[in-house]
Amino acid sequence: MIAPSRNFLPAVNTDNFITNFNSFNMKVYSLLAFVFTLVLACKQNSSVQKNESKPWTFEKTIPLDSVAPIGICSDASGNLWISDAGGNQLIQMDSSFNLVKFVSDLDRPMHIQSFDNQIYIAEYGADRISVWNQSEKKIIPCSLPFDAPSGVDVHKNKVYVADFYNHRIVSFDSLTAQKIGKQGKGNAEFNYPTDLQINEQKIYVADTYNNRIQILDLNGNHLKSIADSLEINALTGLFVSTDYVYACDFENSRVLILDKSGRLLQILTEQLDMPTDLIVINHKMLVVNYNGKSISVYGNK
Amino acid sequence: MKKLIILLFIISHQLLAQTDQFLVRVEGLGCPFCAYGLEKKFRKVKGIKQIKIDISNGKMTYEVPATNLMKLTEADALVTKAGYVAKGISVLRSNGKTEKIGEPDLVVKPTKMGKQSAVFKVSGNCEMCKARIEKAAKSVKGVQSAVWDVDTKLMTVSFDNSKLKLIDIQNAIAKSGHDTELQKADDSTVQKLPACCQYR
Repeated sequence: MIAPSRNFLPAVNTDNFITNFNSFNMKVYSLLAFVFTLVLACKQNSSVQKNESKPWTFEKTIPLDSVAPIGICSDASGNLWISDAGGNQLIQMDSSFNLVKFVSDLDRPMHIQSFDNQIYIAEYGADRISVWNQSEKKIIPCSLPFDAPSGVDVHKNKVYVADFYNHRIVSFDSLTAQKIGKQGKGNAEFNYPTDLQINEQKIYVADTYNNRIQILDLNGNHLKSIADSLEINALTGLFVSTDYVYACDFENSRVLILDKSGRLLQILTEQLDMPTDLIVINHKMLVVNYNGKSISVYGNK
Repeated sequence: MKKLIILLFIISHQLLAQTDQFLVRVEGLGCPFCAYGLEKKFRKVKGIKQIKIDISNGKMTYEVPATNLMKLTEADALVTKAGYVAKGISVLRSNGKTEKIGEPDLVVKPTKMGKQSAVFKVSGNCEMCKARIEKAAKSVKGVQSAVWDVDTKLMTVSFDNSKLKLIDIQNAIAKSGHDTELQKADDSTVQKLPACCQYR
């Protein structure tokens, strides 16, 4: 790419011309900057696609001793957070899997999510959503009651919850609360949903005992169901990236990787033992194994 | 009057400490969400404690005070209400009797579930007595914890009732020189206690 030269400017004498030329030059600068940004963005995007589209391979297992993990997320600093429902706590680890601290006094924390440097926690046993703001825990009030909230995500200051025993999704903020769906097998109906994630204005729901992923718009209208023909047995957790959807098939100890149209791309089984959740971060896939009491690390570089 | 209140307190504590141990085989307990969900529903029932669920075999165990008189059909209804099906239920009552419905091979094993708590009165005066009484109780194999309160004179023990009986603990305490509700210490042993420990 050829950068515009500033040496042109001193060669021009008249003020008007300088003004016009400066204006023209600025437009050229802006245009080039735009094109450069566009090229860079495309390059980065294709790089992500390229990397994520490569097959994932098993790298190592991180044992968690006696902890049977349920949920995993990473915060803005790159720390990992793991929910330990049996121990009623969260575990914070650095990116090298060194223990940083515990957050205790929770009631069966299940899936968790990081947003705005805070950890949102689905407290299954206490029927509430709480948030850990790095120094204290606060309960987020919701005007609709939960019965075993199992998954949580945040989008534009709205909290979305997988409400397990009510077989529905609840979205709420400080003023309003909306319920989506009811028990059933049809579109926008759920059978014990456990996890969800908002991605590109869509809600991806782990419709656990319908063994499928439902994709809804933010108003709760059904758009598509995927993974329903893959013989999943208890879809307990999901992760959605720019181009791919990852699903934990608990009973079969598998992770399924699909594109967003629902096409199956890869099935992972190595060193997985009843996985409940996963994240993809820095070209690594981290899968938490409930029965294996461990984290399985996959890479695709 | 004061003695009567203390006696009623002790009796009520002992009754509450007696538990029925339930073992339920639950169908469809596929994942931890189901397991913790079932636990959540049972936790809401007054008195139920020590809930443990093993999703690998679908077995749930819990304890309930014997005074609740929980029937097998009640346990079955609770499982159904939680959204699951009980394939079999077995209970080991505090008096040692067993009852079951459904799967015939479903048996509560007291060796794994034999934890029992009890509260009884032990005579004594001071911290030295406390150390001696607790040491004597803990010396009995199968005793998991033993705490004696100097002020109330009440001993709280938890033990494995598949390995020993409550009287075994009281015998050990009496041998150390302290009277219990069921067993008196020998005069000669009491007389050998330090002056501050002479409670008689």
